[in-house]
Amino acid sequence: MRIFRYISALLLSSFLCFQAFAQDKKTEQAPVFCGVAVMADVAGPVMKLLDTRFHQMEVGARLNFREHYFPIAELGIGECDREGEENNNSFHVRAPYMRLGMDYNFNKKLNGNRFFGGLRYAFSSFRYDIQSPDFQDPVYGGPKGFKLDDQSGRMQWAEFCLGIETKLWEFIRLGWTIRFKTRLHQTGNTYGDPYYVPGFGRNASTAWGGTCNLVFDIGRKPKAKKLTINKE
Amino acid sequence: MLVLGACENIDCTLNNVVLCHISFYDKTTGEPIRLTDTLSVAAEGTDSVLFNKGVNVASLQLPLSYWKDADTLRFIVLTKEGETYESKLTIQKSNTIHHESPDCPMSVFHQILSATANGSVIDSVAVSRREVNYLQDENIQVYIRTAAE
Repeated sequence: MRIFRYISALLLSSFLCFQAFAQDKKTEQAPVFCGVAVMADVAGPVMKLLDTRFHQMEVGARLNFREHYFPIAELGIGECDREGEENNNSFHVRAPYMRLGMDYNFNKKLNGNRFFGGLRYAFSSFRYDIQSPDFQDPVYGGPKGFKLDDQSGRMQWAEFCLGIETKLWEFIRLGWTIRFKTRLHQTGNTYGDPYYVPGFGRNASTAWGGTCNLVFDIGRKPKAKKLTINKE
Repeated sequence: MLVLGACENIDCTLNNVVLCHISFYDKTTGEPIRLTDTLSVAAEGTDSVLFNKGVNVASLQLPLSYWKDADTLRFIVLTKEGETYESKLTIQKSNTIHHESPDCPMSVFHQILSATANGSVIDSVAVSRREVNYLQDENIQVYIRTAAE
């Protein structure tokens, strides 16, 4: 039921945005600085409640210039506490990550809806634990199992985002983004690449991700200056 | 996003066995050869036979120990005339645990530091690839003494 509500909210926000695009076509211009917004990803807590293999909690803040340019900073904590499906191997990490970037709003109307394209530079420096209690040499014997704590990992990556956002009430907005992530640089580890990178997801050269953001506009509200074109 | 999260699958390397690849060469010509006699290989210090009574063998893939700094492999050749000859191949190495995912089996990769041999079967050895990992390429070239010797 919780999943249904969540998906419904996403679909509703998408529908409202696309509906808005089809409305009036008057040219409007917003002031240079239109305020600040803070946001939180509501998908993270849902994924944690659903006990998914990994999840991340995330907040962000962004500036609004002319209702088109949105420099943004996102800060989150990624967590993975995972045990193998068919063995007792385990992997654990809980560490912060950060993203810096900019969104561009393609919607030319000041109707409260936004259609974003964006780019992010992201990085995470983290420590993780690996454990394999049953690992043993089948031929030569020797000690059984091992535990590697506090292994160090670092990754930098880029994210290409597409998203939509709509006004729910006064200064509250709801929006979502889908993101394609591509690894830029990873610090090698002696014992192999970490299974999960906070903020990136499962470790690979590329990954997909997304957010569902609850956004709170603070500060100035953009008041539209309507540009009227005199045809006489 | 929930769908993306739910779609994760177990994705382990298919070839996830770490073996040391050994090939046989003729000492005089330097060409690859097949051993016409019966070959067995045992791991010294254990009761394990790693390769049992193979004939017409050109190469072998043998496991190395996970934690020891050196492995000694006993190469035992039984001729058609019933005579037994033996050599020992000692491989000095370092060992590194390799982890990919909690779902995948753990492995140990090795770095061969040196390889030496003595006895009546093996004349000399050469290390052609020091890294012993998932790759199937040759690690050690073993030069076999000719029957006349």
